[in-house]
Amino acid sequence: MDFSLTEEQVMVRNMAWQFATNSIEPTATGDDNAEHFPQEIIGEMAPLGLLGSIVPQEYGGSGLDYISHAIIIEGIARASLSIALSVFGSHSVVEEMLMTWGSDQQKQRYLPLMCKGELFSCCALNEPGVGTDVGNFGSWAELSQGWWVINGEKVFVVNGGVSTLILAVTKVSKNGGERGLGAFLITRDVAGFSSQDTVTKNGLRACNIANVYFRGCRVPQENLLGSIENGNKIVESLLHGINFSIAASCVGVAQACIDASIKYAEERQAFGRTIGKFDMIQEMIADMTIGTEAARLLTYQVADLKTRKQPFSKQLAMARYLASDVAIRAATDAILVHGAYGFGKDLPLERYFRDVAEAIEDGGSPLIHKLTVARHALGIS
Amino acid sequence: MVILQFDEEVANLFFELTEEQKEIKQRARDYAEKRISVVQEEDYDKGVFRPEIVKEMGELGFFAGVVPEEYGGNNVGFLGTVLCVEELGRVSASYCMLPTSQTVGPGLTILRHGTEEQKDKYVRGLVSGDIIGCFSSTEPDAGSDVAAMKMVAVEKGDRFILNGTKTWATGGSVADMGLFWVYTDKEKGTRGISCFIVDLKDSPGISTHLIEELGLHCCRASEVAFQDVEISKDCLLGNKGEGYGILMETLGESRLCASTRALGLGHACLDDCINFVKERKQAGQKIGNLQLVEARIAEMYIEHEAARMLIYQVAANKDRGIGDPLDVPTAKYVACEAAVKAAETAMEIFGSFSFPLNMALRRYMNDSRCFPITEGTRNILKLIISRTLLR
Repeated sequence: MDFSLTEEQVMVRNMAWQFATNSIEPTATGDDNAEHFPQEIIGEMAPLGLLGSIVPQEYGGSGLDYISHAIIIEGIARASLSIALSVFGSHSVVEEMLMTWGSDQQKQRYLPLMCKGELFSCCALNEPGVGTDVGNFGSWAELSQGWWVINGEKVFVVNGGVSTLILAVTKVSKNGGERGLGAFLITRDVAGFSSQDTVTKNGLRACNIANVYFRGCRVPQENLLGSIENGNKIVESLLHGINFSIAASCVGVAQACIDASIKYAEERQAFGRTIGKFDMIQEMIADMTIGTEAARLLTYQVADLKTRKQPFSKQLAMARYLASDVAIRAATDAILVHGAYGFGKDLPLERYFRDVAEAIEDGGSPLIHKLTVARHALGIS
Repeated sequence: MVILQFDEEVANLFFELTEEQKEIKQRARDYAEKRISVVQEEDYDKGVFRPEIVKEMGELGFFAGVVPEEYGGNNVGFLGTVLCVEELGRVSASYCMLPTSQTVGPGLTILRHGTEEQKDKYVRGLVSGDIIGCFSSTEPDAGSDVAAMKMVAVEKGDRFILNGTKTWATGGSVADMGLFWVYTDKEKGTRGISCFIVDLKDSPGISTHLIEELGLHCCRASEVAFQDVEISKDCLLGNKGEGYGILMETLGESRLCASTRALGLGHACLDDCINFVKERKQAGQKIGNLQLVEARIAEMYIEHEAARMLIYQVAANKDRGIGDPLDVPTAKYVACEAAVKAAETAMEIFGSFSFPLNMALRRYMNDSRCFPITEGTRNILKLIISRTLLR
């Protein structure tokens, strides 16, 4: 078992951290305040290969492994969880879905444009009131004269208001009977499509989150991703993609909390010394560090399994649960290390906290991930 | 071997409520649900504080529990006051700070240490809400370490000249008066700290600015800067050099209310979660039937009840004149940690049903992060407790 990063992974880490520090960090707090989605930063990510890190080179991507992907997500999330979730929790997940389930024609048609940033995308899964409970979805697609006709509503779609390509999962019906689930590639310009941005969010304020509506949208048959028989598996892999990016993002924010806490503990004076000299402050920094490192290693383990195409759902549930728990804890403790300043908006700690609290609600409650771990452990399907 | 001795009187736990206490609890609940919840919904994201709420609460007697009748008191005591703060806190972690910034902080401190003139000038107004109060010992570079403060008051004839900056004063920008702790003799360390009553509206040289915060958006903290502010000698509260002792007393009581604010927020989380899991279905069954959800609800209740008992005990004992250096820090620690956790549990239970976070959840999450910081951080409380035990 070798825990060292490859030369390529080290290069990727340096590049992502540098980009995050120079190009994201300076405007992250301002974008949060203004609730502004920084489209221009997404554009700058394309030439660096950050919009297609896991896409094979033949389709215009960087062809990196999943550990590199996790490292990139972490690096970006350290500066902005909003951008990390937008790019890696939605756009990259669509790329991954195309790579896993797409036809050659679909891959050739979409992936190169997605890597270049010319086609920005999103996954539309959640429905009002039922979330990801696919059995109770109210949206549906029906074949009519050689076209899929799609009707329904998806909520809280990350990038929903700013993407050109929408991957939507709906129920499929035929002659009134239900036939399972279908995943459809829909472009924004299709008649009957509309979206409504969510405003005054608490966290992820620099991320575009929108409700999207399909009213009789006609989609060519070749835009069905994979097959209807595999509908449930596609949903599962979609949730896996989202949760993997959330786990890696949480590790990144937790690291940002550690970095800020160490810096402050070395500067702030109280009772005649820097507060970093106090055991109780040290304990908080130790707890953050232990948790973050454990969550990071679990996430890399998932990444390794993904790269080697091995089953990973138990490991992902563990990583996702621990990473979100660690990140909330680290953000809370980082606020505490900074005292009242941590509660104020002059420092980014409160933004880290709001962003984490928002992000971990995406992709299922921590309770679900815990139960997934238990069901794997107990062998319950 | 050291064996903890429990004072029998302290351990005598009866919280039988008087009719007045029951009434003020109900009054606070009604007012919070009918009035505060409505304005808070409208104001929270905009960070608006409504000064008229102070007057309304004053009229309802929410600041009158801890003062004698001659100053407008209503005899509900600390127990009645915490019941009231708990009910207000169930709806708003912002507005439930007012009983502290009015009477539990400034009003009571002036009653204890003030001259007849000082009591006459301020206490009735703080009780009725005609005067808005605030207090602060904190400075940009001096929080838990009070002695690190830099602000000074220099004696000049029959005046004091104040220079320095106090910060995180709840209500500082709207307050008419405030208590501020400053050095009159820096050489003497904590024995050189004095407490002053400052009229904020008609003292030239004072400027305030609102602090942007994570939560508590309806009752905002301010920085209060003093530049050559001249005040009369009559503004000194108690004697010179007594400030530190006065502050510790004030904090003892404001800390009790801080724990009660956390209790109120925990109560709200519990209420919301119970209502939610009884209604919400996932994959065909009510989520309240899921054992893990049941476990979380039970844990929230257990921790909430433990905090409640501790707080009521401290309050009831205070009303009987019984004090203990461990009781307030213990109650505050338990209540604040319970509230922080309750907010997170509420998030877990609402899961992705609340993405993006709804208004109540965002308030619980954001507001609760102040509890382990304000009025004695988590670490300071632990130090007080262990140092008392190890003394």
